[in-house]
This record gives sequence, structure tokens and C-alpha cells, in this order.
Amino acid sequence: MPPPAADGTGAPGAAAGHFADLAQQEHAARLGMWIFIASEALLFGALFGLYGAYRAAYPDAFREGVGHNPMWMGTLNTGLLLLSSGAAAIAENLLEHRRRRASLGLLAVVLALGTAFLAIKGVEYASHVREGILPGGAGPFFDEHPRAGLAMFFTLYYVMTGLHALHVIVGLAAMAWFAWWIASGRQRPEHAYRLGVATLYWHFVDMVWLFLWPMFYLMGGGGGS
Amino acid sequence: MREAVRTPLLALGVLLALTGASAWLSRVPLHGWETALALAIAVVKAAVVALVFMRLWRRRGTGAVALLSAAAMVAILVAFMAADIVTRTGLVPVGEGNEVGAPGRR
Repeated sequence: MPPPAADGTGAPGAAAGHFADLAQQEHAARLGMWIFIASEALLFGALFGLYGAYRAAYPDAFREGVGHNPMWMGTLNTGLLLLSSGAAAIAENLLEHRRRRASLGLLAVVLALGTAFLAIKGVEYASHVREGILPGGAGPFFDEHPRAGLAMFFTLYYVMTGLHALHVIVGLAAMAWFAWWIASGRQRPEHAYRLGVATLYWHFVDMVWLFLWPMFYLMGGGGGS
Repeated sequence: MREAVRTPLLALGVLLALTGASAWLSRVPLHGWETALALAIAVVKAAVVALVFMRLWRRRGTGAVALLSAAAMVAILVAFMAADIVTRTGLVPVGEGNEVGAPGRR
């Protein structure tokens, strides 16, 4: 038997017993996600710093590495993640306006776009592996291209984009769970903010990619050199 | 209701346009400014995502404090790392088979 709502509405499940009302509960949930995002920013920030340090040490090798990555795949993935982020933002807004089915449809779009992102990333990894580019400077590619620093570029590429892909998978799992939650009819209008908390994470994953894309696909020194 | 769709769509249009601009500029020789420009565009895009999609424009408060604190910490970290790299160039030999992290190989 759930405790009576503490927000005075008497609606069961409106707010958990330890919150004064729904507004406070929503604020606590959003703040919790923001603090988690801040910790994640520090994790990626350390890797960005590492990339900057090695790029400063081996500028030519990093340009060569960027030139070797398929720019069109990175650009396509950027577009997919931006579209998915936009769809997630609209899905959140629509759920707040009690447009449940439209919100659910947009969440399906988010899931499709995120899955397409991972599929393209998988194709890209497979292409690199076929060329003999493996993390840690392993693989015949580095015997044919013995430039100092190139192994470090591709190691960072695998670590940073791989860590990001893990975040995409977690975000997709969260989005799938919320889609199921809405589709099951158990979602109450006053709890729409919960989707907003999940989309905050999805937008952060998008934001990280906005930096990974130029670092690994664009900054090759002009003309892809 | 219309605003709930229009504002994110407008932001999405800006983000896609900036993505196109960034991709195009990466093919143009900019005499050393390519990196700075690509990162500047990324910062602008991240700001649009934070302000519109993450609603910082409407909900300034503890969320903004958390995000700005994280950004400040990352900036401090990167600045000190950059200072380290700039000031110890003479200490780390850079060359074939002698790079940092993979001594004696590649």
C-alpha cells in the first residue's frame, strides 16, 4: 500500500512520501541528473585533455589520422544524433502537453536514429579492423605507416568513440524503457518530467559527439590533408 | 502547443546548418585556423543544445550551476594540461619510435 501523497492532492503516487510536492520531486530528479552529467563531463574532459596533449606532441600524425577516418560517416552520424536530440526534445514537450501517442512516435524515431548511429559506427570500426588498424598500435597498418603518434591517435579514437558508443547504448536503453512506460499506459501526466530527465542524458551524449566529430573527422588541416 | 514544436525545430535547423558549415570549412585551407574554427563551432552547437534542448534558457538554476561548474573544471584541467605541454617541450623527446606512451615502438 503506497503512502498517501504528501502534496495534498491525495492522488496516489503523485509524489513520493519524502517530497513536499511534485515540483520539489521534479527539481530533485533534474538536479540529480545534472550532477551526474557534470561528473560525466569531467570524465570526457580528461580524455579531451589527453587528446589535446598528444595532438600538440604529434600534430602531423594526428592530421594524417583524421585524414584517414571516413569524414562522411562521421558527418552522417552527427546529423543522426542531432536529429535524434531534436526529436527527443519535442517528444518531451509533447508529453507535457498530454500528446502521448505523438510523443511515443517521436521516441520511436529517437530509437531508430540512435540505432542507425551505432550501426554506422560498427561499419566504421569493421572497416578499420580490415585495414589492420587496432587499438594500441596493433595491426599491420602501423608497420606500413610508421609515423610516430599515429598509434596514439587511433588508440584515442577507439577509446573515446567507444566510450561514447557505450553511452549511446545506455541512452537508447533508457529511451526504450520510457517508450514502453508510455505505451503501457501507466504513465501519468504529472510524471511527464521523468522523460525530461532521461532526455537530458540523451542531449549530453549528443553534446559530447559534437566535439568528437571535429576531433576525429574534421581537424585534418584543410582539404583533408 | 505550437511553441513546443517550433522552438526545438528552429534550434535543430541552426544545428544542422552549423554542421554543414563546419564540414565545408574543414575542406578549406584556413592557414592554421581550422582547428580553432572547428572547435568554436562545436562550442556554439553545444550551447544551442544546452540552452534549447536541455532547457537552460527557461530553467536557469541549479542545473546551470552544475553544468557551468563542470565546464569550469574541464577548462581548468585542459588549461593546466596545455600549460604542462607548452612548458616541458624540451623534456619529452619526440621522434620516430620514441613517442610518449609507446617507448621504442611506432
